[in-house]
Amino acid sequence: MKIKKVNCVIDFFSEEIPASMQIFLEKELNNLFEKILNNVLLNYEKIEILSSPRHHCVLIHNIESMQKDQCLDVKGPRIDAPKLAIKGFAKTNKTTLKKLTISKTNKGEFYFHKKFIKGKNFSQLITDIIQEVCTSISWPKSQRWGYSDLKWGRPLRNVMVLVDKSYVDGKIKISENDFIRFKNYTYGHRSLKKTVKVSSPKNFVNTMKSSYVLVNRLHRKKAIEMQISKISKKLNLNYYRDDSLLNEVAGLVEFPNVLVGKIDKEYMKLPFEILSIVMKVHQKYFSLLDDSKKVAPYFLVVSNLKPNNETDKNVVKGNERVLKARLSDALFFWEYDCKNDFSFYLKKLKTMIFYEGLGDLHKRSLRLSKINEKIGHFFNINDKKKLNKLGLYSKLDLSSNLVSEFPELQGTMLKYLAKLNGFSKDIQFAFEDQYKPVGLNKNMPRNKLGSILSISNNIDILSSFFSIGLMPTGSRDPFALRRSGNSLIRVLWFECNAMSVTKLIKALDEKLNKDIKLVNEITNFLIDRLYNFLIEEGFGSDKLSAIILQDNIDKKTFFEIKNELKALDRILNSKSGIKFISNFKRIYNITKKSKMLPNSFGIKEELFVLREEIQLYNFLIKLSKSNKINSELNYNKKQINDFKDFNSLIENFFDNVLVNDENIQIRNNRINLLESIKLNFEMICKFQLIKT
Amino acid sequence: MQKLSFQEIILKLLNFWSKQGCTILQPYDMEVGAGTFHPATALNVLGPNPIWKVAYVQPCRRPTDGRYGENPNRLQHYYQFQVIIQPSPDNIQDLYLKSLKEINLDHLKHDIRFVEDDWESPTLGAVGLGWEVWCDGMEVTQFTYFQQVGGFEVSPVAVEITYGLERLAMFIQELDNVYSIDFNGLPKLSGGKNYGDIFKDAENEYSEYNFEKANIDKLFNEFDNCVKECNDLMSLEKPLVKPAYDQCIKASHIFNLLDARGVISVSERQAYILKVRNMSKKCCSEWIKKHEN
Repeated sequence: MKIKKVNCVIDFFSEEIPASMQIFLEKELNNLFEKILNNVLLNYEKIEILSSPRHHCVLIHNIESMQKDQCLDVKGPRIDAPKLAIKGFAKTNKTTLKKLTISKTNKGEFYFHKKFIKGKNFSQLITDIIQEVCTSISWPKSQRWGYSDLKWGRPLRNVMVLVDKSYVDGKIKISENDFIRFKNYTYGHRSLKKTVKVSSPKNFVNTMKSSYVLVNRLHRKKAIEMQISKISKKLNLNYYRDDSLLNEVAGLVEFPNVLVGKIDKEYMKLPFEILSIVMKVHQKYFSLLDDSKKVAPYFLVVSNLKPNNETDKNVVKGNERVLKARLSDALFFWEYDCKNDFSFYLKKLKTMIFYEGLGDLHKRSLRLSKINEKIGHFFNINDKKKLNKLGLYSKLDLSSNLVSEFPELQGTMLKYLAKLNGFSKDIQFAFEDQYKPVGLNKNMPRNKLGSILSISNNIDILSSFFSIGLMPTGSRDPFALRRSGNSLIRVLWFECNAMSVTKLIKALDEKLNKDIKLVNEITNFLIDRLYNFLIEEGFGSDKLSAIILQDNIDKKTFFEIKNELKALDRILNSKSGIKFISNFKRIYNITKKSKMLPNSFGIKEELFVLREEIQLYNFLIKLSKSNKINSELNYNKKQINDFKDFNSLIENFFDNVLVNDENIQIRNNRINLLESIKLNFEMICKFQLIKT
Repeated sequence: MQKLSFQEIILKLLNFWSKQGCTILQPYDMEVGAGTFHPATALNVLGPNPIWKVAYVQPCRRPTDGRYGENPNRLQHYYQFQVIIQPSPDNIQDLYLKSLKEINLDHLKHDIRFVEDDWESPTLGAVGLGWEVWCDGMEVTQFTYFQQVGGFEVSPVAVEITYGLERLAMFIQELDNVYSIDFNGLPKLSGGKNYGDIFKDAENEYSEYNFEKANIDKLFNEFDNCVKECNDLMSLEKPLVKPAYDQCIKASHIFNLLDARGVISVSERQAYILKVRNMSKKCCSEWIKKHEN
């Protein structure tokens, strides 16, 4: 019999859920419904999740309206089990002894009960499914409300469930005594007083649209972009496309209505970045550009009200006033700050504490100067005076009013101050870029000076906080030192091939770089960051461990590390390489079991009995000599030949030599030989960690 | 239509929330940084009344926000209108929108937006989720579902609505300068007063006091005394919770003054906040104990 298919819509109506949380909830609902529908053995065509600030809607397309009936074989006791046990089995399954069947398994003959399970209606199951979903969501942040124990992003106010044309009457439990009973309606836009009835899941999106709610995020984005482009055409300007803002705004409105407001001319002299912070970050406005790509004196606000001439005018007027107040604050600070010169700010830095025990910001700047001077040559920059100034002035803007008001402008403000004071373009850019890259944002400094300053800034932060014992522990990282470490590694990896972790730490003040404990802590921390960074870059964890966990990794330049990773990949793609690794692992396992202390001097030639032992020993001598010159992993002829030689020698060895000789001296000598070979190869790469 | 004066806004809101069953209280008679410090909020949401609805105006002091009366938007002394309702009712957003309508902010005519803003008071050990409410782009209200106070679960959950009265008045009267707010709705010649007439001079004097003249040694001393007195009151055989909590409010304000004087370093800051938090935590814990019996 063909099972009838139905469509279903579940609408969770809540108070305004934050934009980023909407996206999270979409994914979570999708995963949970998928998982639970699979568990109850219902097939469906697809699940679609739509969301807006107040609605999260689950549309299940063409789902089977009935579970299939099931016949399960329930296993009982063995046929030779006590009668009582067999009777008990029959009783618990509500059947009689006669009706049980007997089947053979590989453990003997057993009683079985054929259990028939009648399939349930989807409509009967859906309430339990929803309850399970609601209690299974693992929120990053959530709340209770009223008497609820259930948590949601913001208070959940209504649930409507529609299967084809009928509403499901059910409820979910939100605390011991409280429920949210499913309603046969939902709510439209806040400006609508009436509740909304939906005739069928297929009409849901359209019904909501005519109630002034675009439940589909993509529809809202499209609507916003279309309105913006219409306005920009009318004004003969260009839309400054900003996807992150578009995503955010699409999570703030249910019925986007783009309105245009004017910015007073006097504020247009503010730098773009300041305008942008106030407009985009604080007020969520879009900008328009003129043909020369300069910001035009307009802003676009996306209102959440349906279009109406009178209200639109009010909304624009209100927004213009708010923007004006914010910009006049900014302009006041900007003009005040621009009047002061570098010596004024330098003086002010001396009164600003970086962190207690770590001196003031002026002292920090001096440290940066020194580091810059020491690492400049890695970038072929040897103008010591320039490098010094670069550090000395790099924190000046932290004492400006504008940065204390808009901390996001650190660096950018300095760029402008530098411009006013006649600094060259490359220095201006370097000042601005010193905080890049930020977290997952991959924007790198634009020039070498910027990379240098970014490196010295981060290594100074790390060494400073580590030096007073404030390193991150577990999940606690109050000074975001891991983020500093990540930025540092990113710049080194992409911009500074000739650097190694050790060389970088050498550039620190002597007080720090002679402190062995501190140096070890910073080194381990940075290697750990490097490992994480490379995992994110897509390297397999076993291959990475083989390279990164080498004892001398901190002394290797980033160029060498890159080469080793490449070489390892090629080795793993070659026949002899694969063979080598399995042979290596074999000796690794033998020596691990033997628990002997490695002692290559303990190998005694006179104890060798067989030719294969001597051949292997000669190979070891050759290997350890060449390792003294270079212990890098390569994919070159020499290394491949080493692998090939080793492969044939060790295979011969294992074919003809019994390691576990009766004579304990001979046995130990053989283990010593294998151990030494293992150690010599391990110096090149921790091959034992590679999964093959 | 004549625009509502500052005091009419207050009266309308009081009237509205009174009709919703709120007990109308008066401001707490101490210097606080926010209406939340009023014991009617900070302590009462932890018990003993399962239903607790109050509304009141609370003058607030934020010493570091002073601008000598020269900035059109910043004040070191201003008014909040505070509503606290426990348990949070299902229709609280609608009630709030109705209250805005009472002061001529009809949500059908203005773009009212609930924008994510999770709230935390480190000194009170309080955490809540909610929004700042925007009216045509201006933040006019803080709307919070209290989850914890003094480190203790708030159960049932209370909702706190805090209106920034000056912001609202500036919006309603369409002004760019806080000092131009019409306070009493009278023409100048019949005794009309604006916000500046009443507060501008004080803003100037207090800014000077907060930033330059407050006696640092005396303040440090007072802070320690508050901590001590709070501890003493809490160690009595029968602890005096409310008087002890007053010491906690006092300490918090003194800390804010010291902060404005610029004598508290970054790491010390944390230590001072922790001291105040410990005091308030103790008070809350004792308050709960007392009302369990």
